Amino acid sequence: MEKKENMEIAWINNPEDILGIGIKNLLNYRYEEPKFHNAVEKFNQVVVFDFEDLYPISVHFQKPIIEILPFNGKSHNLKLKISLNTLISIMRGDYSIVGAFVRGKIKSRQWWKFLSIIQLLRILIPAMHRAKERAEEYGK
Amino acid sequence: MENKNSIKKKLIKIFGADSVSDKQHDLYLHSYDATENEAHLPDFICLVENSKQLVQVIKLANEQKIPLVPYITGNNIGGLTIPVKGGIILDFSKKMNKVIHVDEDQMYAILEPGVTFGQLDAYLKKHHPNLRYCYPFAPPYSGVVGNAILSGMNNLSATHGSMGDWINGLEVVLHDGSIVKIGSCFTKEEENWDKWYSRYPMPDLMGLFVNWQGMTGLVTKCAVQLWLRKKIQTFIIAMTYGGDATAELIREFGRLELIDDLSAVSLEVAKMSLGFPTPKKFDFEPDYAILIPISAHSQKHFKIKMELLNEALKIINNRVKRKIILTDFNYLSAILGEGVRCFADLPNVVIPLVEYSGLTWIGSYAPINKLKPLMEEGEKIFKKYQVPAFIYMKSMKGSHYAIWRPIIRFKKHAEEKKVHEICKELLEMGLHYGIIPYKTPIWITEYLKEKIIDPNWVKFFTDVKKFMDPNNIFNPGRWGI
Amino acid sequence: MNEKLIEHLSSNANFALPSTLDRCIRCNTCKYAKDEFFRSCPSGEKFLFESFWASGRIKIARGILNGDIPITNELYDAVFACPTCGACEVSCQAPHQDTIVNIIESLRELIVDSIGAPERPSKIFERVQTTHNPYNEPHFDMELIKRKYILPDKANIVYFIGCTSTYRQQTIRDATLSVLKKLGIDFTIVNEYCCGSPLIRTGQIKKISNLMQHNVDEIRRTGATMILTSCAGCYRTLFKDFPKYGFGFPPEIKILHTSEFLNEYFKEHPIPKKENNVHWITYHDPCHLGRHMGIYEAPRELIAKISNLDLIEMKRNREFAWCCGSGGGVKIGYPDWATEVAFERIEEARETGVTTIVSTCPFCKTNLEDANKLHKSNMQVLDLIEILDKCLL
Repeated sequence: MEKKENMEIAWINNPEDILGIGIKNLLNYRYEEPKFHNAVEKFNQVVVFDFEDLYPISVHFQKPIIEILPFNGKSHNLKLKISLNTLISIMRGDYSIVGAFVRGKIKSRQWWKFLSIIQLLRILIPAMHRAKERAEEYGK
Repeated sequence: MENKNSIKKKLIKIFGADSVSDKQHDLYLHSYDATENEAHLPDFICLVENSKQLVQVIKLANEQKIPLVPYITGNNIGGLTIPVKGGIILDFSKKMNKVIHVDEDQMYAILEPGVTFGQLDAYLKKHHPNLRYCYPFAPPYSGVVGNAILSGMNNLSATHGSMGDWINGLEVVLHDGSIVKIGSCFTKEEENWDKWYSRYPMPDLMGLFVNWQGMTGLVTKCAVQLWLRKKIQTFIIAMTYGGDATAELIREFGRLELIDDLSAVSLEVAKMSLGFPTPKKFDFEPDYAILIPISAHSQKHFKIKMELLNEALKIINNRVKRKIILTDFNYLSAILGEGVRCFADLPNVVIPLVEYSGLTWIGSYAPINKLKPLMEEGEKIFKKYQVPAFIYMKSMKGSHYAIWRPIIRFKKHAEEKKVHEICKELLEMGLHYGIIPYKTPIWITEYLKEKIIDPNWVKFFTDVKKFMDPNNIFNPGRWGI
Repeated sequence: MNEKLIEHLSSNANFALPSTLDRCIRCNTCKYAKDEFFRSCPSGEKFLFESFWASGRIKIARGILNGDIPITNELYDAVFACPTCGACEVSCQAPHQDTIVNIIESLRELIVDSIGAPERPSKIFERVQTTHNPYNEPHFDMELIKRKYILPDKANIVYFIGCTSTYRQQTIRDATLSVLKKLGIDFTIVNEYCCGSPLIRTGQIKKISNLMQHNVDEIRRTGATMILTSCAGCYRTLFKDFPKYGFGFPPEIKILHTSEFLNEYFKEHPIPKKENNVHWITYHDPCHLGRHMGIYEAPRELIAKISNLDLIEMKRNREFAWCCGSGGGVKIGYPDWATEVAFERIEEARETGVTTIVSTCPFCKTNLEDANKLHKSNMQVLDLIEILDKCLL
């Protein structure tokens, strides 16, 4: 558990599954940014990322915590089907997130929640950019 | 045997006062290694500087019947430098650690025994940036020559096999004090560094020293083949569910000759590198993470390799129960965390290997068609003893054979007994499926001799040892001799 | 089990025994600067036996704990011939990496407690008890300085001069006093005793509390809210060891090295340009400022603010800097070897093409100068504060 003083999000739990570890690390790229904390506060929903090639995982963006847990079928606000390679393709810039939706690489049956999706993207996209920069450093 | 003081005086005459110790704490440090193997104190530690000293110490050892145990960095994970019969530890790593020569055109390096992987890598990057050697799944400061003459594996093994295969030449001091050069360097000329280009076609005397654990002579120079450092060097990673998919990927990818290496580790190992020393494994997670280094001469070359690998993956995925995920390791590691880079950015400290004071394994060469039962049965044994699974596997030399290594980390001076039980169970199971242990500790060689090996082989082996070392001064006790 | 060692190691706040000793596999990573394969351990490189490297010393601790190694004076060299520079801690990647110097210091304490200190370092203990400084000089009357610089009894800042600048490297003391005066800083000095660093580093902690108590009382009397020191060793001791031995300053009292303080000061007040000629220098990171306290950039930033200075880095810099060889009791215990280590640093400085090596620690300066003189190297050895003093009007 990481405590962060004077931040809206007091902590992100310590997931022990591999995807959970990855999502936490991804979000941690933005942990120092006040914008990130504002975006999470506004969002305040439970999202399920259904990684078709791995397993579904839920992220509870509920202030003052973010909790990342393997999905146990319980209630959620938004569910997105995605694959690990799609996530990485978006990071790498092979296509945009919108492009991924258009290509059917990301699927959701909750299109009417597009505002929620946009809010979620505001949280995720900058984190993915940071991760991309890191990946490019590794590749040098 | 003369008394210790008298022998010490003679050793000081050979090596110099600053290079000989019989202090209790120095002896203690060499009495054990990371493994569960029993500790034995040596009588002396000597820092070796040159072959001339070795000639003299061999003469002394023969006269006094004192064991000589070669030591480089002691990271062999087999108890191979524990002086089971006491004697003199010959430490090569401190003064006999020079890169003697690198031949750019013929692509080899002649090394003294103390050269480490980190050192050689730094040396090549500085002086010969177009060439590379390789790195094992080990700390960066393990000895190159020790690993080569014990047939260690490395990050080019999928294509090039074991380091033992890459030895071009050796210089060895024999039991009678003669210094012999083996390989194409066998000419009368001294220090002609141009001649160490091949192991063949003369009778392969190298076999008298490779894998003998220092029982037949003292290696003082070793020429190892180098490889081109290609323009593109990167990594992909596969994640697999189940023994079927894992074994199939290792075998099929290995035989395509497109990749440099293929190292599969239990998913738990990846988590260990991410700050979970004793990780949980959930049923819904993949079972193995398989790191695949790939190199290519150009982007076009790389693209073709990836196309072929993806085609092969499609075929494999049609056969296996659950699809294998293949992805870009640089991106995946940016998602998962810096820790997993320790498997890729070699030579590096492989974090899961250095988290405990004890480390042991059943390091083995394995038939590639038996990886599935080996990993499945191995996982069961880890589970039975409630130890996080740490299985490491490789395809070797175009999948002609494989490496299967269950690894156990433990607390030294506390858990040896339990660890030995686990190792024994892993060994028995592995032997059932045809593995051959390597860098073998004594208890395994005794087990092999009793249960597995043809007595004719044992006799021949013993006769050769007697011929090579009539007074049994070279690392005695190994293989029960 | 050696109960004494357990007690010694357990009382060390930064780690819990026995897990620390059970985290070293002797992988050798501690022996070399990570990634670059630079030589990094002065002790191992000199004496070569495994017991002179960090992993060997950890195993010695384990051997003593298990009762396999008796405590005799045979252990002196292996345990005391180490400048505790911390290079091993930077290189080590195992979970116990931050505890290695603590283990070595605890081993020293145990040995001193059991059989006494080696002869040469034991002199420090005697000297500090009688003269309050390790140099055996008559206790210096700070009132002389106070009068000369017209310093008050009470001030916001105490400049803790340290023994080496008081008794050996007075130019550092004088330059610091001069700089602080020129800048109009409200500061004073105190009737200081040795901070205890040379005793702690050599395991002679028996009467350390007397020294600490005296210094704490002296500093408190001034009402200061900041302690400044120009000595990296004092800095580490005031910052880390005082609290460890129960003499920590309250949080409202800041402890800063002069390079930190002046770097901050000159962010708002540019250093006047005194001459146009550019001087090329190199910077030597003192172990107690760098690896022990993590301060690498403040001195470099300060150098960058001096318009006619240009810094050329040595190949081993910051956390990989080669130790000057004087710390951890090596200067008194092994004086010849200490200068040998320093000479390697001088030679490394020479490789950069400069003729001046700058540091921020009087102890480093002393040892580098000694090596410089011994080998007639003609390298100018300066403390950064001396250069800065010359730049200010």
